Amino acid sequence: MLLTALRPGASARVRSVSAESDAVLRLREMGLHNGVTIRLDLIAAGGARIVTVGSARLAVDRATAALIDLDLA
Amino acid sequence: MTAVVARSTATVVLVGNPNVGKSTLFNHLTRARQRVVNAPGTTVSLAHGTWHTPAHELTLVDLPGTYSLAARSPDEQVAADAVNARHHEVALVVLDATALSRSLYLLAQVAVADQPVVAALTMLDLAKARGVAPDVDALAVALGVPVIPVHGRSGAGADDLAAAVDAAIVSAPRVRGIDPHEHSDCLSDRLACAEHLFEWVHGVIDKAQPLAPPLPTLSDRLDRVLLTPWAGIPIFLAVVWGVFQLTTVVATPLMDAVATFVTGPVARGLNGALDAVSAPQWLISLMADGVLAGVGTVLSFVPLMAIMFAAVGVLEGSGYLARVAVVADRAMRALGLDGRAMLPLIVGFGCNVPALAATAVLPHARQRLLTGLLVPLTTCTARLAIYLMIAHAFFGSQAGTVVFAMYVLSIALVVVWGLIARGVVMRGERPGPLVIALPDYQPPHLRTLGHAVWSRLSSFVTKAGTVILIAVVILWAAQAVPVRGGHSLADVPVKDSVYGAVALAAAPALEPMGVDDWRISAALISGVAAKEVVIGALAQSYALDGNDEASLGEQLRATVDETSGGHGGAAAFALMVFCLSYLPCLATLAEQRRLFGWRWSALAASAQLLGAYALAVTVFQVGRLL
Repeated sequence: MLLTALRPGASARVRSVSAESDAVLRLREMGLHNGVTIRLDLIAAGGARIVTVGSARLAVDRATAALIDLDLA
Repeated sequence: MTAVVARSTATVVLVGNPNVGKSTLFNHLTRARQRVVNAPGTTVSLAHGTWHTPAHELTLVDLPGTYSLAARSPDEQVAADAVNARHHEVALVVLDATALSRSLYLLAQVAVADQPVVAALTMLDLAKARGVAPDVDALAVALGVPVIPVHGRSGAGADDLAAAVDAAIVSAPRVRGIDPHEHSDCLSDRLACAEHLFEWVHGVIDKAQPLAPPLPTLSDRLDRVLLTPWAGIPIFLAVVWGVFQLTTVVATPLMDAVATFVTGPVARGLNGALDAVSAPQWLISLMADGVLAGVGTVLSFVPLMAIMFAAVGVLEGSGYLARVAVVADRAMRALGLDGRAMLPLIVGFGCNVPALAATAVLPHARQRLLTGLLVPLTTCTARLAIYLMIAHAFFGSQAGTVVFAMYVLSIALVVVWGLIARGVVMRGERPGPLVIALPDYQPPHLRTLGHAVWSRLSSFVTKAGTVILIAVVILWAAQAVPVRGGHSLADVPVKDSVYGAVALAAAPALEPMGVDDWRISAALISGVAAKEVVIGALAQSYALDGNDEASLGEQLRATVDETSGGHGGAAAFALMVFCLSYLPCLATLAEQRRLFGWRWSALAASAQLLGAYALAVTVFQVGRLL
């Protein structure tokens, strides 16, 4: 499932990111890499997803969230 | 006998992610011993400071915050170039204890660049509140370099950090587990390199940080309100409204007070002193109407700019700006801008000068530049006075609608110019994904805030202020030097001065927009000094004609009805359109030059002037046919 389909409060593991390599690299640098477990905290104004990754919280815009494929944890 | 040991010098670069307390630490370590310079060939600011450690007098360079040395923006490139140039003895890497994985990735990249490293661990108190605080000793062992917990605000840990850096300058410690020679793939395959470095990061995390999930904090609860559509957008608009009010309602009386002081007691004192030494009239005029007027203009902006810089500092320091980027992202993305660009663009409707200062909220130089070029198209309150006078004179009961149309046009110009300028400034760069860290909310640190306000204010006064002063003196000279009529210097009617002659020569250029009159061209030239003086300049010119019975609006209407061949409404609307965007005021131009350099500010002003002229001519030529 995609990050856009995840419900607030649910956790999942990143399976893959279907983006250009530069965007994938930026996501990895921010901690969103294959295999990492994330939790969706809330859906913000404009559709951005607020996720907890490790001990940090990130905002991911809706278009980018639609590129992140997840496995439910 | 006591031996005096001179401290040796060395350079240390401060590297870290954005919002990790890097600049707070920099301010604490260097205190007032700072200077801000642009990185060579860029508009990216770099703060240099002097840090006195027990053994060294260090030059500390605060590099722009970055998540990676694989740069994607001029700011990140400056940070990457500085690290790779190795003009320093030690890289002081700031690690955020609440986001250790991300911080360690950057540290790993610094290690790949084969740098001696000392790590400063910040945000430990916040990490403890989240239950994710790392074991500092275990972290130091895993990294193989000194790890010093520091509290940037209180300065706790600064002495230990100084001792660690002194020792590192001698011992040049390298990060354990990363051999720069084994990471040649970082240049050719950045993704593979990132994978390798993250494997190393996870190894370090496993040894030094608890596995438990983070505990919810007050920041999480606040975000459940501040980021939601139902409350986030109204609160964001309320915050922007608050900043707008600060730069207009609060700042205006302060600016007036400064101006009154300068034109009152200071001017009287200056005149008295010059009279006492029997100075010639032209010198008194130069000092009072030129130099003092210029100084007064600069000083009157000081309270406004201080308020704006403080507001920007509070928004930055509190962590709220990252939320603004999220809430306003969709609205600004079409222009290729970050959501944070909404703030300066809205502030611009109050005054363009602090709005330019507010571009500092944007993380990337090109975004700051693009936003800074669009700010003069937001119609400030000084222009509102012009619209009101013209609209009342020509459109009567429809004046309100006409003025509203100017605001709609201003927004449309921002969008259209933004789409055009995006191609030039962003050089085909599409807006990247919005993936940003949300730092915990914190109360602003007053000392850091004070440093930031003082540093930015000093830069404004010395750089933009000088340009304003010179320009005002040149304007005085143009009005003081006679070209006809046998008048003496500084005692010349406007029409007979160089200024009047230029206005007379420029007037025919206004014929295609139906307003070819020297009084109007003179007022437009005055408007370059400040839009506030346009109406005053018109009043001054009409007063020379000696027609005191008609109001200024009536006199202007009579003139424009004549110059437009009976199409006064179309010509008046064209004049308002021209006033909206023909040229920014001097203070705006000076601030643009300070932030982006002459080339960009001149290019933008020329493009604006041509665009405004074309638009105003079109409005008149089409309007006269309707």
